[in-house]
Amino acid sequence: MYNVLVCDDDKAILDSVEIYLQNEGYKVYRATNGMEALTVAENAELHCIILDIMMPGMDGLTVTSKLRKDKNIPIILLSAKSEDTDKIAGLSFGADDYVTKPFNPLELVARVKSQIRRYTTLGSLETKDTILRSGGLELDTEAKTVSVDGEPVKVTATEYKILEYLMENMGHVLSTNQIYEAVWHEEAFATEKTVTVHIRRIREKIEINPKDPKYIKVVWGIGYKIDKES
Amino acid sequence: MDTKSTKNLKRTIIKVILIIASCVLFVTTYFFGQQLVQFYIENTDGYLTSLDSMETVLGNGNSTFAKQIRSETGKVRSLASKYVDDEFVESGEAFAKYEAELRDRYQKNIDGRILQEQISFIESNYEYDYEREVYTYPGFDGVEIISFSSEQQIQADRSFVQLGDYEIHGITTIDGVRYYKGFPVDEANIDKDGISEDLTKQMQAELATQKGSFKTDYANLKAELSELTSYRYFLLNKTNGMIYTNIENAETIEEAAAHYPDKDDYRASVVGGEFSISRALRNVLETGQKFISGNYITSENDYYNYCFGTLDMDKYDMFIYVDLTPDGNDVFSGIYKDWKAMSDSVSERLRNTIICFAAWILTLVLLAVFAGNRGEDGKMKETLLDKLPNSIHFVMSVMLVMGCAIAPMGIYLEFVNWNFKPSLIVAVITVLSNLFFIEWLMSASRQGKNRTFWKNTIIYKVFIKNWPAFKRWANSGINKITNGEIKKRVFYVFIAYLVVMVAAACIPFIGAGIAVVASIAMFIYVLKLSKGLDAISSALTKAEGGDYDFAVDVDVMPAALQSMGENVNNLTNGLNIAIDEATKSERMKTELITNVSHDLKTPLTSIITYTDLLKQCDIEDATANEYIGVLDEKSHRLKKLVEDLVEASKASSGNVTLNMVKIDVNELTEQIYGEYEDDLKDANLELKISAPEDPVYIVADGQKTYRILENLFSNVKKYAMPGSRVYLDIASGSTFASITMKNVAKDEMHFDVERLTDRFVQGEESRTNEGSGLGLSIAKSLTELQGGRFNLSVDGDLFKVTIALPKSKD
Repeated sequence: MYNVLVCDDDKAILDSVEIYLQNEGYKVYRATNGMEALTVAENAELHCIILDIMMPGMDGLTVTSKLRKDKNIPIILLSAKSEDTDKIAGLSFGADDYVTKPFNPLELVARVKSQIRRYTTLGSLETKDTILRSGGLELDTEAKTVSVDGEPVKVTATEYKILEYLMENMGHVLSTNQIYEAVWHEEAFATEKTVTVHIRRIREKIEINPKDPKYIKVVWGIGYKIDKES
Repeated sequence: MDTKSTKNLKRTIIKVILIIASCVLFVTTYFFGQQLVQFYIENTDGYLTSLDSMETVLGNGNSTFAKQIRSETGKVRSLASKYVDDEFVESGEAFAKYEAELRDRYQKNIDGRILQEQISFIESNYEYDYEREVYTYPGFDGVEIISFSSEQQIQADRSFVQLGDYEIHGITTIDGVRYYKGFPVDEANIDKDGISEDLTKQMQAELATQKGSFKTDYANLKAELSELTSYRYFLLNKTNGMIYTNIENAETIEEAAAHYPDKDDYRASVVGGEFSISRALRNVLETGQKFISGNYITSENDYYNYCFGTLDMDKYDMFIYVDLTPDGNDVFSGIYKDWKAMSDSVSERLRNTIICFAAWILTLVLLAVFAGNRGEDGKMKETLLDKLPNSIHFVMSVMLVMGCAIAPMGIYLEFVNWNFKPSLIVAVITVLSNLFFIEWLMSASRQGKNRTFWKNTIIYKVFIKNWPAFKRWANSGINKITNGEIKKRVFYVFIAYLVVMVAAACIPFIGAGIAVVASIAMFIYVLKLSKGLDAISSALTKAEGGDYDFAVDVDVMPAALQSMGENVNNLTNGLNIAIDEATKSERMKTELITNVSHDLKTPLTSIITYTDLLKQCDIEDATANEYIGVLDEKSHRLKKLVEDLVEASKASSGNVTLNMVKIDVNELTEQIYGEYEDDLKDANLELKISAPEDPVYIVADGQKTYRILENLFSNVKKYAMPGSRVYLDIASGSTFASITMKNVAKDEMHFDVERLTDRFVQGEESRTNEGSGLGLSIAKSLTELQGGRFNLSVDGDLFKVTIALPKSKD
């Protein structure tokens, strides 16, 4: 049984999120402001915290930074502020994820699941040279396997090669031509939409929300990348 | 009988008479004037001096008068010294004395003559040694060459020996021997005896004559002296007390002088060695010095000589007096008579001339009075010449008058060789000038009567009449210069400078210094102006560049620019404030958008969440489920709308931060295709991309450009005809790259293309679709924000959108 704290000054949202989480089998703790959230975190064993940013008194970002002083619990920020700057700010405070309101409740649940999986299996992870890792995405170059948050994902050979190429060049933006040449070993010429199509399929397999990918990020007009992520 | 015309006739007759009279008088005046001039010339040796003094008539030191005095005095002297008195003469002692004097004189002359001959001999026969300043001669037996010191030489040159009539210079006597510039005089080889003999012979001859006539001469002299009536003398021989005089009852000189109390008469005296001469006599002797070269009088001695000759003042006291009376027969009386006649004649001539002149003037005055005939309107009828501007008329008349008066005279003198004699013919010829003058006079008079004289002058016509126009012109000119504040001030400074420069030009010496100083001051002023202008200019440039905090220092500026400087400061201040305001309002707008969107999204979240929960509830009521479906659909629509609204608002207000990078357009389209392929397949649409082979790079914000294309694709998905193709063409221009999307519309497009990009406008008027109506608006705003161009066109069922974005320079 995993414990999740939900903190939001809007009771309606609290109620709704609680329902969804409970449906998934999580134990839900509630808080309506920052101080409460901190108290709960002190006293209970938590595996994930969902935190609203815009709250009276202590806002979510302050709570995050306070929590991060001595806790490693995954924090998902929840906010109507959807600007990139807001997301960057939130993540830089120490949050693991950022979901904008209005949100798809199922997606939220999936993210919670992902974070918990990562959190609970983190300690037992081996670090081998042959393993490429970004966030929850793991690629075993020896075994030629891919797993997300511990769960293996079935990918085709081409899909694997693409992922491997991107993960070998983690943090770098690679154009479709570059990816094509690296994977197909042919000159990229009228590659049509081969690469993009493959990317889409990969996303559908590994991303929680393929429309909002966390792993294979797009830099429009330049290419794709996978970020280095702890 | 027409009184007016008879009156005019009378006037005309009078005028004619006057004119004739005037001409006659003019001629006589002119003629008399000529005579006057002649008189002047003749009686003053051609020089004009005042006629009221006797001196001019008596002449000068060389005149008859002076000579006569000298001569008479000479006679008296001769009487006293040569003859003494009757007894002396009778006894023969007078002659003996005279003879002795004569001999002595001759002897001296002989000596003198010899000496002079000797000197001439020396000078012509011997060489002068300029170094030793002596005459050299070959050694003579027993005689040495004497060399004189320069002092001695100078002394010798200054010395002179008077021997009889001969004055000899340059003789030095040493030890009884006489030397002439070093040469013993007596060594000169001349014929002394011959000379002596000559002169002695002369002497003999003279003596013989003198002896013969001695007594007769004496008698004649006495007779002459007794005849003198005008010339009075008193001679006292101090050695023997003898008195010679023709003044009655005079025992002493004082008594003699007392007979003639008026001290200003022509008198002179020498008493006890003291010489005095009256002013009148002195003037006579002096007169002529001023005009004639050849000085008769060079010192006081000359006056003495003129009056008393060589009279020995130690031996004699003398008094002379010239008593000019018209009664006498002697020469002085004659002179007096001549003068009187001339003087009278002068006054007579003068009087005549003046009378004629006055009469002439009178005729002119009368002519002026009678000038002009009154016309019908009471005004004087004007002749042609009257119309001439008066100054021109006057100048013309003057020229004609002078010409006609002087030219004949000149011609006349030319023909008589400039010997002036009055000429009646000339006078008659010059009458023309009179006529010209009359003409002008009458014209002036007429105009005067008509009161048009002043108006007829050039000054009036040009200046006075045009004065208002001139004033206007001057004013407008001044206005043009002073209608600007700065112009006016600079103009005044310049005027001051000009005045100083002109003044400096008139002042000698320091004028140049003043000019330099003034110019330097002007230069400094100009510099200050320039500095001020530069300061203002730089302030404006800074303001243009966005720096509004810069303020111009008004205090150091010249007065002309101060107000301008203040204006600039006010301007920049105002701009500063305006920009602060604008920035503030911009910030508020941004905050408003974010706040509004945030506030909208929060309740919306709950709506969507709870609708979803509803969906999960087991509800069997189909209608309820239907309603839930609607809620779900609409709440999602609302979410999209809010998101679009915020984005559209930000995009159109420019509140978007762009991250402009170099983007490969092909890469972009491939990425997008990857996103939308499935979607399009679901909508039964086929996407066809065509791009140039070479990569096309644009400078744009990747995220925003994706958003643009996303909107376009979303549109296509909604509105394209199912089963048709969608074309995406990429083209590269010179400065822009374009992405064109073409599709066949599902429904008939009978809307205004222009309005599609407006907010909230959708293709379908009914607005039932999922779209918010903001898609194209956002796409357009985002395109334009990146410096691109957005173009939309409809052709039948073909829907075409073209995005053009700036190409990358490299």
